[in-house]
Amino acid sequence: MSPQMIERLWRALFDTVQMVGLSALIALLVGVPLAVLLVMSQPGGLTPAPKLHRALGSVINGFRAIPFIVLLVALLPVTRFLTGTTIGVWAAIVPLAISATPFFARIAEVSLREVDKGLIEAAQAMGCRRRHIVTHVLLPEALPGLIGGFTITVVTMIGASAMAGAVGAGAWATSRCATAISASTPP
Amino acid sequence: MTEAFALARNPASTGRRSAEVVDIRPEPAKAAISFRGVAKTYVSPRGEIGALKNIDVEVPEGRVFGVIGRSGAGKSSLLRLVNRLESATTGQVIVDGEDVGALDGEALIALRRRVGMIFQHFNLLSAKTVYENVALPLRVAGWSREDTEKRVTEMLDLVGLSDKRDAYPGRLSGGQKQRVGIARALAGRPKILLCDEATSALDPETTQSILALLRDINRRLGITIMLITHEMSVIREVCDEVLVLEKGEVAEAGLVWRVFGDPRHPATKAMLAPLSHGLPDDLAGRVQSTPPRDVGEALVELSFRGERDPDLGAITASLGLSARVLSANLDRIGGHTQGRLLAALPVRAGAGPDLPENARVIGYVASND
Repeated sequence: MSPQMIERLWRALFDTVQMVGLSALIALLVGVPLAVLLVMSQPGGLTPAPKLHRALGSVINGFRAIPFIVLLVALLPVTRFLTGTTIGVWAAIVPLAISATPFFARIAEVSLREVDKGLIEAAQAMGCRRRHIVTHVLLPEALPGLIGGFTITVVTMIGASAMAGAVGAGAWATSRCATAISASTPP
Repeated sequence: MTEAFALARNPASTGRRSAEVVDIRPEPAKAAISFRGVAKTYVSPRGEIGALKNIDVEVPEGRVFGVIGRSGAGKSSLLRLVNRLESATTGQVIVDGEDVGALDGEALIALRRRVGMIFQHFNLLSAKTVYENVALPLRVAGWSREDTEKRVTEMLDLVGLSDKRDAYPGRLSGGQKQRVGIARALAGRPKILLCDEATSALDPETTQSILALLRDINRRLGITIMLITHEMSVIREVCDEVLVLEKGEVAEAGLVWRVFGDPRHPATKAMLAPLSHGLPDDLAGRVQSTPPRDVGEALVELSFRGERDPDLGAITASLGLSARVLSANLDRIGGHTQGRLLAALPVRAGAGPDLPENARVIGYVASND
């Protein structure tokens, strides 16, 4: 491999890390509260709100049902509005984050829901407020599951970032890779 | 409190209801918890399910009050009404002078901080250490760091777990977990302790030590304890009063020695059955309800209850000299003797034996030969 190609590959790797890292961070910051909201609002939850629960669930399911490649194209106007461009690392972050957030929210919801009801009951019995239950019981007890779910999300996002490159919409990494490979291959 | 430490650290000395534990509690002045015409129904897709009906019960202050019943009798619902983990459908639950059903959010939280609760499966937070678990109710109630530290240390001393302070619950035995549960429940200085099948997941020996600890807490700290269980032995071991719950209704209630000494409701009798000694196997298969046509034996049950111990002279006077003793059992419950003696009396030719008031014939067996 030529030094130029190695350099390009490094750039591509750096771009991917940046892209996936930032989108994953957004997915984490938005996904966890979403998951908490889902668990709290479910029937029999701490603050049952069936309508909110159903609405939120439908939106999440809707986003999850759309294949990433379709979502990518469909979100182009949003991406342009938010970042002013439709190509480049920043442009790829928008669809990646929007697709990863509901994905992670669902996984996180499952982990949160698996927290033993008895623990929540014990917390209520000792006079915990709802926020105490979230911070002292739900999140710490679900932490192993949340970490596992986050790992899966990141891995899925790496796959998706390559797909973004396939349509040339923004995945700098893969397109650069592709250019690099074709440039270094003798005709 | 110091005496409680000593007892808790040395479980051997607290094994059974021992003579040296002097009960200095005053007569209960008022009810700590009253249920007034309480009913609870659950709405399910198949219609309403009645869990509790017509509950009118008072739990006296400073006593150990037991609720016993089979699975699904409504014990758990009844207990959860006290701190409103569940709400009554009708009727009132008065706890510490307040109508629990009428409390708003803040008042309910304040009440729950005055009522501790322990659970069958301990419900300790696995991500927190023993110290953090016990400290949690204080932390959420806004105690200062120093006060919390002091109180948690005191509570861990009380339950004899000072050396497990920084351990995680996953590394503790069942009995130790329940001790942490007790420390956590008592940390906020509650007036009432609710025990939800607190010993049902423990082995008999550990059960004894936890019951001893509970009794100790009641005696020395004066905390009212309401416990639910399906084990008669738990009631017999620690409770002053008992409520027998059957299909959501009160079957029997009263002082333990009275209810157990003279069970009236079939549910109570059924639950007491495993405690009483049955007939020897060889006789059990041959029992008939009518006197034998010629020679045979009458199986006679002699029961004692109340204040005086039975003496052999009285037994002989009741049954005569030719009686064979099949089994005998005496129990002291709360200073009162109750017991049962099973004897076989020879009878002949279709006649029943002449018996005193405290004896009854439970059947006849014909002679083998």
